Amino acid sequence: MFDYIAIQQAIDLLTSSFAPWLVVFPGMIVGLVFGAIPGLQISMAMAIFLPMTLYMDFLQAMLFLTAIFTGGSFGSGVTAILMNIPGTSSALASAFDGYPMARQGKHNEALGVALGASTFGCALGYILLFMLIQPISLAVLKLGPSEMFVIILWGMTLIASLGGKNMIRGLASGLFGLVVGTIGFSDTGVLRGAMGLDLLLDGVPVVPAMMGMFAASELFNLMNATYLVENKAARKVNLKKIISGFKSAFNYPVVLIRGSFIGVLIGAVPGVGSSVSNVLSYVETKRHDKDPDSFGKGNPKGLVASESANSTSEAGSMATLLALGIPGGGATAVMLAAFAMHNITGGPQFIREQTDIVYSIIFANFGQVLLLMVMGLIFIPLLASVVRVPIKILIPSVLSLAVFGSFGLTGNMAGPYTVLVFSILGWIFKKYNFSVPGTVIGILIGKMAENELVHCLQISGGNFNYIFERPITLVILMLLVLSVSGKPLLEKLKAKGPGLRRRKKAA
Amino acid sequence: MLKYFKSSITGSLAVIAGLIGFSIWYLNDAYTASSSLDNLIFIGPLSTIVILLLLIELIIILKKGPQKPDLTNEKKKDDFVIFKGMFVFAVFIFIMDKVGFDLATAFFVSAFMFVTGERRIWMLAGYSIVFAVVVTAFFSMMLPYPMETLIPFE
Repeated sequence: MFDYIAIQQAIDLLTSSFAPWLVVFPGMIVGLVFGAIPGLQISMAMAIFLPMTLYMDFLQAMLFLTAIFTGGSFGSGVTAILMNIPGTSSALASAFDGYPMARQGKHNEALGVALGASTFGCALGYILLFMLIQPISLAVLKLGPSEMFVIILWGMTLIASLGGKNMIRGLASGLFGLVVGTIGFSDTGVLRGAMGLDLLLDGVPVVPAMMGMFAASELFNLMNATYLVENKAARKVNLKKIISGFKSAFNYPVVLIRGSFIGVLIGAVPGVGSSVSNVLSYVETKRHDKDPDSFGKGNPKGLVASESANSTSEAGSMATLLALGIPGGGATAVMLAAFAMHNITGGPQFIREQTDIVYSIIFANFGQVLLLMVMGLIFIPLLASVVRVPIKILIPSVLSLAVFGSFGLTGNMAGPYTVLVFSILGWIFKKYNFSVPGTVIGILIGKMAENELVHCLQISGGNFNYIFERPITLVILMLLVLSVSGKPLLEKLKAKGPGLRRRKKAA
Repeated sequence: MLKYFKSSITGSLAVIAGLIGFSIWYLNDAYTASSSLDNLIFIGPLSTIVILLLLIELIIILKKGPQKPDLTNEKKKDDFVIFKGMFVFAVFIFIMDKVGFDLATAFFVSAFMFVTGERRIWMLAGYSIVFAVVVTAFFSMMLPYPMETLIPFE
């Protein structure tokens, strides 16, 4: 299973010279900064700094880019927690409980919890990658559109659970989001819902829509407040509380481990992985919790679930990149470009012939985990100071950054217009008890879900029995059904249990 | 009929009507573009379910009947401030590519701070200009796309 000679060579590579490690610290700072500024993306940071990797050897280049990835994954969770702006779709679920915690004056603890979950997730993710890179890559090759669709369907079940008090409005908003997500050209070349606008040909830009609905609408509601956290005492940045939050993440080992496994397995699925894994981890944690109604109101378990999954999805996507040469998303696509710049092709041959390099990348990421912990604890007090900025300065500054960032994402005015439209829509939805998180999830996964469903239809030729020829699809479907109905069924059986026993005795 | 307009359910009814209208329009647009199964297999059932759910919600609201409006003077004032903020934000977005990202940002930050109660001139003018220049310079150097700006940063 392990190539011990390659392991020895990898350790030699990393310890014989300090050169590979020189790039990790600046890479992590770049990732943290880009992740923590609303509107900037991890993939943007990696793309901007990619030309610098030309002057590095391949190992250094990979360590630099993975350091940006690691720092950025945590950094995007920071804006999700402090300002309800998920920096990327992989930090979406962090906002659900992280932001309410911040509003309650627990921003120090929330950031500490996120850091704890991220470092654990990252470490476990790379351990799993080290042990399972070959099996994961073989499994990914067997995944087809039906498996992808069922995974996305699993993520869609979160829409139902985010309905809040009004289930009908909650469900309608989520499904409405799915519909909006399909605007633009379909995979089959049909244009729907563009209203004659060129800017909508590619559909509604997802991240600007997310920023608008989540962040901008919430920021408008805060206009009448003076600070994000009204209580002056609670606004203090407190390193003790941050460290206490960091330690408290480990009070939920089941949530951490579940989130990490979901992250690495789902994160390995190209295109779908990181966006869905944090949502899936959140929905499963909520479903299995004794007090599911506390989620969305500042339950730290929700934050742990999301952050552990999004950190491990990095390792999952690395498995697909290294073993198959397939990028999972924007960030790994940039890494693939780094491969090409160094005349390297990812895939089975790469793993076979350069196993020492593969192991070096994995081992170096263990070092990055420690560095993330230290740098996180240093930077969090600075980042948490955002709560001390008066609202009248914070809101226009954050909104401007988000608009610039959305322009950067789309390359034209589609991004800023999307932020505007969805910020107003998000405010209206909030005011009239429609589910904003449900709508955002719908927009995020709408197009993906439609594409995979259409691919299934085309491959199967409309034959429903196709599903029964896909054992992995059936297994995932079974897990989905068990996950949705298992707990209520168990509770019903438990409730009937004493009655049944009494009837048997009487008989 | 007038009692519905004055009640607290007016907004909900308007939102539901808007969403139903959009869903019907989108379904029709998709069907007009192509009536093939590939095109409608996802949108068709989804839009239909959205419309049905919203109709059910509409019936529930109408059955409950109009409630007394929940608007105190304080709440009306709060909403008015929010509308002003939204208006300023909308103006910012619409003028960005016409007057320049830097000038538009300076206007937006200044106007928004004014709407939320800031009156110090050094903040309204000073902070907004410095912020606009720094942010525009940063993004125009980072992004590969052309950005309209008053100050030539590149």
